[in-house]
Amino acid sequence: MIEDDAGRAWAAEGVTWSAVEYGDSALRVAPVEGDPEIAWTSVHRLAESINEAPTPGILSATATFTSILVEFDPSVVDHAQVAAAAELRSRRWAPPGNRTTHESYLVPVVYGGDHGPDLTELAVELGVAPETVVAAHLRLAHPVRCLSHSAAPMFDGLTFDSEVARLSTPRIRVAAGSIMVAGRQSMILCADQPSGWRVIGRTPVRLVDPARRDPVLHRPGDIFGYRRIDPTDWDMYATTVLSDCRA
Amino acid sequence: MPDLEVLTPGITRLTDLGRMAAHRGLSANGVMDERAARCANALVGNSADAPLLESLGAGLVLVAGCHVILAVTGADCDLQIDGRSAPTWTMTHVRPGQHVRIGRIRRGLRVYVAIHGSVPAQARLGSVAPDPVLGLDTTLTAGQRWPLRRLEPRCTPWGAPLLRLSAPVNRWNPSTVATTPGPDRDLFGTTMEWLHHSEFVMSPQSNAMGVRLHGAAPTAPQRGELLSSAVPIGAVEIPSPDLVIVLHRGRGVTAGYPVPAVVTRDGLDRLAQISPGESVRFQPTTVRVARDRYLRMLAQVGGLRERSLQIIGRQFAVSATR
Repeated sequence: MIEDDAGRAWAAEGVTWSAVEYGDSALRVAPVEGDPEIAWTSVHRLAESINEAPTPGILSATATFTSILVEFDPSVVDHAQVAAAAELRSRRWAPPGNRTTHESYLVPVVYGGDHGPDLTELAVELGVAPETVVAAHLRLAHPVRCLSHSAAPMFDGLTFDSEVARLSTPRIRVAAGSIMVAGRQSMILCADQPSGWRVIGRTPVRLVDPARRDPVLHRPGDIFGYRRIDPTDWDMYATTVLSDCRA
Repeated sequence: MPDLEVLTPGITRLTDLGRMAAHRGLSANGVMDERAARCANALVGNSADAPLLESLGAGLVLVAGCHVILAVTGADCDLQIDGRSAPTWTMTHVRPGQHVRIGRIRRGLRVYVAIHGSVPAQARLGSVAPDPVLGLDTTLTAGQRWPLRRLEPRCTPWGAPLLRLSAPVNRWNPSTVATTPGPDRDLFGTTMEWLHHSEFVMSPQSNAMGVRLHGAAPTAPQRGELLSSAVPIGAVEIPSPDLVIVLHRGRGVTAGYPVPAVVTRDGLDRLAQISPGESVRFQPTTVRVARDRYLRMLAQVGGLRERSLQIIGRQFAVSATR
């Protein structure tokens, strides 16, 4: 373990980690370099381990693609203590065989039309037919990489020849359930919110169920697949929540 | 039944220090001026995480259906009880039937109203803070009522309870906001110093998700889309050369912009009270200094709470339940 002005670094389980101050109430913990897939698996495993072992003062550990944000209460712990806790967890996480199981979901989607207002224009920009865009999305059976704004599950893996550009003027309001793409990523909104991403479709399924004690069901690592439905079938799913869509 | 009624809501929501569930993709959505909110709760003997009211601007009018102990902090406003001016940043006794009005704001933006014993509210994932994802909307509506603890003044009718407890008010001048270095500061090279040498003007487009300021912002070479990463409350984003956004308590947990600096907790409190058109300067500091300042503030507020509970205990008989 090395500690200096730049933060703290240590090696555990084949990963070299660094922890640096990120404001007065947070720490960023990240693998130093290496394969992005290994980094993604490692950050989620460490964040899960930190969240599952409640430590006084540590509020939450949020992993995304290649880093973890650990938020803490500075009246209880300081950066050095939080980094030490992260190091401890990185040496103690359960072996791969005991990993939390991931869920698989199959989500019904209406593509294009009113529910996917950007589909046609996006297809023109990409130089393909709208059906090609839909087919590319339907082929995705990818893990949630992380949770974005308002719990939206974020995925990568779109395989168009070019990256999807964002709207030059973001929309003030995009409806919950919208399937959006930008760059090589896609996401599903859990609540109405503004966005500059391209809306290609929408699911009638509610991803968040406020009636549950833990209303946000989906986790990084869960697999989402999609199936196309007709707009006329929208109302059939009026009371469907994500837990009804387990594959 | 002892209660408190909302006569006119203004633009007011019920909230607390915020939800700590960023790992579920949920924003904090807690109070924007943490110090003012903590003082308000402490002045009425509440715990720091008790739900309280946050008003944007003037207009809130409450009617007491019983004896109420409350405190109003935050923006410098004209607090009126039954039409007569009353001091803010102090413990206040309101009698049954009296109207409490948050009047004209002289300086600042957000007003906090804490009520002794707080009000019943639905907590989800550890907080009552509103969240559209959870379907939790705590915006006050006219006619809304909360049952309160029954309080009876111990004093005889001709001697009013003596509530002498105040907190130091917000410091307004100068409007400097402290920042600590962000993980991507090197991307901005020598332009980083612009952040601390320029004057920035508050935009009317600011909200709880991000406070927007116009001025000569540091620049980084364009690198296309960065991968999203989780960002702390206070993270500074620079989406265009003259726009600085300071992510605040309503911020979405992830962002794709490089982060040159992070505003301190004290700085977030100040930004919550800067009005559109007012200007602000950023000042560099260290995490250690920022933390010390925060701990000093907490110690000061903690002392208030103890004293307030003693005073309330001496002057009022409190029922255990609503």
